[in-house]
Amino acid sequence: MNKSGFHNKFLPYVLLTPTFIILIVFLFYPALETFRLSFFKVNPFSGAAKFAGFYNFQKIFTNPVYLRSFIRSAVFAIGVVLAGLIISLLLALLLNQKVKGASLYRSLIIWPYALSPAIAGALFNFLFNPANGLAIYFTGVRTWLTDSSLALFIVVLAATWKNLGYNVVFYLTALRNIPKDSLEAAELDGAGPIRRFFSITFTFLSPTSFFLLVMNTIYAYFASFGLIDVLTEGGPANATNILIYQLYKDFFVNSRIGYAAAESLMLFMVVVLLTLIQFKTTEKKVFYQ
Amino acid sequence: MKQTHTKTIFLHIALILAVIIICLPVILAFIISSQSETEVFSSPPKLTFSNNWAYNYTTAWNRVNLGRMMFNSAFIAIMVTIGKIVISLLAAFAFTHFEFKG
Repeated sequence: MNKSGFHNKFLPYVLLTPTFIILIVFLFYPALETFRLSFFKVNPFSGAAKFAGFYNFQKIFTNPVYLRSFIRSAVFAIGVVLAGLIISLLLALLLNQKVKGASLYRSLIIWPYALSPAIAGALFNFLFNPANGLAIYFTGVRTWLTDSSLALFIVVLAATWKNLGYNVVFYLTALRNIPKDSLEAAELDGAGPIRRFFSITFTFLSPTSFFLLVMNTIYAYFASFGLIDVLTEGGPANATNILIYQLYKDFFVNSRIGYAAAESLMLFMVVVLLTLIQFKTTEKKVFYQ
Repeated sequence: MKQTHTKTIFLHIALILAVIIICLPVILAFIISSQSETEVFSSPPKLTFSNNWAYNYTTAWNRVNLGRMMFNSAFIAIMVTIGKIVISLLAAFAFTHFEFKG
């Protein structure tokens, strides 16, 4: 029981009590309550709940708006993950070169990560809003946020931009940790820079890429609410209405409590499932030193 | 590996471009924050700093009671930081200094 000379039987439990109180009150209880409510019909005014079995789930899966947001979420997540990983890898490779002022460049590229998603949304609103967005003047395109595919593109762009710093930091650390002798050996064996990148750098980066794949998927599904709310509010015509935003609207705007509980359960399961799939399929190909 | 002169210049250009593109949204917001209402909506858009700083910032500060919000944010941040550190310190201490069954 004790490793360090403390002889109090209760002390460890006393120390853990605050953590468990917080976990129970703010995590376990709400999670169970969400699970319970997803099987109930809840009256938004009285709060009275009536058991309804799978009614809520049946409702969400026959609702075309919800199904559409399911697909939009997937497109959004794929866009954010792909663009995020590719661009940040390129930036990290660039920042990893030995040039004067490298640390200044690094800070300037990483710092947007310190902005909150809502601020990122506001900044992109300055650029693309239909009234006086600057991009409209320079491109002649007026429909950046009013055309469904363009709006989705802008939202992906903003979400990727906001998260770039995070990805770059991890890629940069990984690049620094690649053993120099492997690269030199390959160079001596006559491998060109492109060959060296794909067969050595890429392999050594695979654990980081895998980690970032999982983190960016979770970011795209969970952490993009503020951005969407400020930038498009799910519009135009629900084009950027991703699952988390649909959930917010059903709970806070439409007051469909049981329905929203079912949706949050679905969202949770989607992310768990995606993470599991990523672990099952990609992790085998990851090379750990 | 030898660094040639052209390669260094090319790297700097690429890095500066990347920095400009990444910082652009923030720089533009900063510029817009110095402009008056008419300048913001002017066409072609004005991309230089103007002299409307004082008006914009004092209006923003007074209209939404920014001082109070700053205080609230700082207060929450400090409390959350202290609370998190204390609670996780206790838990970490419990886990590292005692063995639990199971």
